[in-house]
Amino acid sequence: MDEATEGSAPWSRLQKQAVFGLPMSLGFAVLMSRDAIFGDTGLPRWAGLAIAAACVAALLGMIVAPRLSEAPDERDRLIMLKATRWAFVFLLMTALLPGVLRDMVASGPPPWDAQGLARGSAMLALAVYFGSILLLYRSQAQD
Amino acid sequence: MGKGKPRIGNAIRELRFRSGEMTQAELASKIGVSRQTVIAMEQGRYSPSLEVAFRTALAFGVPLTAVFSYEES
Repeated sequence: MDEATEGSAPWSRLQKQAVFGLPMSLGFAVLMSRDAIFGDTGLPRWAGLAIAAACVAALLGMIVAPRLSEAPDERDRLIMLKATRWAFVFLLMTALLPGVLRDMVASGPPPWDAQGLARGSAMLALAVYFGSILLLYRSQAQD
Repeated sequence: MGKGKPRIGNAIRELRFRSGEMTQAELASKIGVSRQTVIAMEQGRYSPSLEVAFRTALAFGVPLTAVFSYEES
C-alpha cells in the first residue's frame, strides 16, 4: 500500500515501553505479594525464579525496544497524563480505601498484611498505567 | 444549540493528495508530530492543539478553516 494512503504507523516509544512494562509490573506484583496470594503453601522457588527472570527480561526490553522510536509528541503526552490519572485513582482506591473503611467500623491493627497490600497495589497501579496506555492508543486521547 | 458531543472534522487526507501526494510521514515531519498522530488526526480520533492545527494549515498553505471544521451534532 502506498505510504500516502497507509493507515497504520510504527508504535510509539510509550507503546513499546507499555508492552514490556505491563507483564513486568504484573510479575513484580506477584513476587511482592506472594505471601498474600499463595498463603502458607508459598510460591515454589522455581516459579519465583522464573517470574523474576521474566521481569528482568521485560525491564531490559523496556529499555532497549523504544530506542528507535519517534520522539513523543503532544498526543503521547496527553495519553501519558490520562494513564497516570487512572493509575493514581486505582492506587488511592486499593491502598487507602480498605484501611479507611475498616477504621470507620473497627479499631486495632487490620487483619490483613497492610504492607504486602500496599506493595502489591503499587505494582498493580503500575500495571494499570501501562495497560491504560495500550488501551488509550487503541481508542482516542480525547477527554 | 446541539445536545451531542461536537465533532471536529478535517480535510487532511484530501489536502495531502492535493499537495503532490504528500505522505503522512512528510506531513508529520513538517508539523512536528509522530506519524501515528497524523493518522489519528486524519481519522478524526484525535483533535490536535491549536498550535499543531495552525502548523498543519501552514504546511498546506491554506487557512485553518480549510483544514478543520467544527460540527455540532
